[in-house]
Amino acid sequence: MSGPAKGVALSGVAKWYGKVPAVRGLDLEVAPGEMVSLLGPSGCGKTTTLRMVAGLEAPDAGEIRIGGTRANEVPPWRRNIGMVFQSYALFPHKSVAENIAYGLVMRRLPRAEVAARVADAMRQVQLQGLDERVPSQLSGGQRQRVALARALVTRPDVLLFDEPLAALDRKLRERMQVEIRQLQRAVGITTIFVTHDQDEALTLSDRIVVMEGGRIVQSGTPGEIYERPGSHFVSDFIGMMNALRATVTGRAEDGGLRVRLEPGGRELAVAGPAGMAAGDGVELMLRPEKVRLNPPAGAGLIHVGGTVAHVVYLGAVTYLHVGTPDGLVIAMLPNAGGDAAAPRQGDAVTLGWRAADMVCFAPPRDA
Amino acid sequence: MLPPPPRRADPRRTFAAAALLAPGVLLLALILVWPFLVMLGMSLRERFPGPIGPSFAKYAEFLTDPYLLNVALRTFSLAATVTLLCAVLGYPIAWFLARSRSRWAHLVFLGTIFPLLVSIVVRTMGWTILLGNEGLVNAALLGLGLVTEPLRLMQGFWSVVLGMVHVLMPFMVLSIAAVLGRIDVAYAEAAATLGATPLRNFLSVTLPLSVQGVAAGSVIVFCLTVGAFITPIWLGRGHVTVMAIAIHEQMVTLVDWPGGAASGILLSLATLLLLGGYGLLLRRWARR
Ligand SMILES: Nc1ncnc2c1ncn2[C@@H]1O[C@H](COP(=O)(O)OP(=O)(O)OP(=O)(O)O)[C@@H](O)[C@H]1O
Ligand SMILES: [Mg+2]
Repeated sequence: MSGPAKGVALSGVAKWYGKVPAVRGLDLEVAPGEMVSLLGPSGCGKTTTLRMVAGLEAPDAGEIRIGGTRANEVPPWRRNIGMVFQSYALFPHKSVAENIAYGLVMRRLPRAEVAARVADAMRQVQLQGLDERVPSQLSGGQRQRVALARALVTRPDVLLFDEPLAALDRKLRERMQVEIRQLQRAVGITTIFVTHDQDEALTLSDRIVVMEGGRIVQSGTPGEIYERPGSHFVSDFIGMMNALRATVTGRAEDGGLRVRLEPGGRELAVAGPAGMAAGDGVELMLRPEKVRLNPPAGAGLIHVGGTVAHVVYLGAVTYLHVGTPDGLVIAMLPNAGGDAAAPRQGDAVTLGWRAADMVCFAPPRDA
Repeated sequence: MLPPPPRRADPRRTFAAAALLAPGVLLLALILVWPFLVMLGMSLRERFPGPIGPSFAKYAEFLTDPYLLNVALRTFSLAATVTLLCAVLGYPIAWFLARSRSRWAHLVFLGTIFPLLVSIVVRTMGWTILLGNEGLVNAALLGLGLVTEPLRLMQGFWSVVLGMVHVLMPFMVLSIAAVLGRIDVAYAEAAATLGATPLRNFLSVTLPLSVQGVAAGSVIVFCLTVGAFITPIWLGRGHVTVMAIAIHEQMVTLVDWPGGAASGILLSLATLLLLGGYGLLLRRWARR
């Protein structure tokens, strides 16, 4: 980096493609040295946002600031950014070393310094000995590393990633996630990482920004986003969720809601958003890992009996799909080993969970 | 692991392949290889009719005849000039065709291939109407009082260049556009984020990646120019003698068939050599 790390700030940024709004009024601050993930479903405007930061698209409204100075009019080649493309975009007619050197050559650094920094970068991403290969002779993981080295070697102010790991197999993807995170921490570079993979966002980020339909719907640390999703959309998008349908019956004394589970008719008190009135339909969201199997009675839990409808064995964990009077509930059981055999299809079981682990949202309107 | 079973050719497939290839191969043999062999045989005679030497007398004659050498030099200068102009003028058009999402792209495409759709006679007549002594350009210049007598716009090297570029441009444009259209825009974008200004970006990324299109277009344009006959005659008005005209003179006017054949063989050889060298050069440059 030239000098201390620079932050990025977007305010009121919007972008239309013809009559299609891709990004609608985005406000986002990335602190110097911070790693932020843009997470959201396909078509929500993540790539567009990233390309505007890079200068590859011009925003139709709003302002982009890099290191405190307005960057809207600065062309990409003067923004001092590094970008890793989903397709890597390694120059097919240049060797690995020439690819990595490209940004340094464009900055007209002396030959000796270019060579030294390229060698350094190649060591950093463990590519020693591959200098003379061309991209078509590399594996997917190696291409990924070249792209990373090429983006980092110029010491950019901001590093941008557009789903760079999507093409890798799972094992390699998980290793690269850790490597990217370690490298980013070591260099202390401000980073924006676009992904639609929630695990990737949880692994990589200081902060996750969840987008939907060209807007930010929630922003917070991975823990906040996972434990306290702010909307039905976020809770559903991040992690697996049970959604129990219920109807509001009134307000509780502590400000919570009284609801009645729909099929079973059981009455519960839960925390819920303001602005709910009696008669409103809601969904109670509950993470499968908060559900316990055959818990001891009287532990302050909600108990529900049911029949195992389906067992999904995943090695480390087992998911039980249990049909209950209150609807289908999925429970996640860790395979600690040595336990009694896990229930099988058709077994009668009791499930329990804390009322506090349920979050109540209005169901999505289009559902 | 077991070795893969040996692939045995299915006789029916072999027959089908042969049947499909036969017409093309026969046609090529008939119109390309056979005449070439006849030409080669002809060039090795000292006179015709007469025995096939083999004698290299006609080749030696060519290589010591200043007139013919001069014509050869003019032919290759013409071809090089036309190729260069087509490449330089055609590249931006190809770029527009390959990258633009404009509604006008269709019109530009039509405009590009239009010269191919017009018969050579009509096209050349058009240039005459424009550039002739009583042509539109001279009429305008005279009318404006800029000149007192008509300029000799035709009959020169450059009027032939103009006519050739006009008709051969589509080959260059289409060759380049085909390659440009297949280059991922992400390469140029990556270069931009790495600090490449548009000019250096083009020179270091897009141009090397599209060099095959330029090479293919160059080969077509160069070969067609070397073999051109009507356009140099008409637009040069007898002042721009190229090899095709000289060979025609040798064979038809001087009835020196072996001499014409030797010229033709030498012309083909020189063209092949030049294009081979050009191809090597481009490839080396693009792989920098
Ligand atoms: N060049 C373009 N022309 C027209 N519309 C576009 C263009 N690029 C994107 N869009 C539209 O803008 C919206 C946002 O696209 P964007 O690529 O930013 O989504 P994304 O969040 O990156 O999705 P994904 O996860 O599929 O990559 C989409 O509706 C898309 O169809
Ligand atoms: Mg995208």
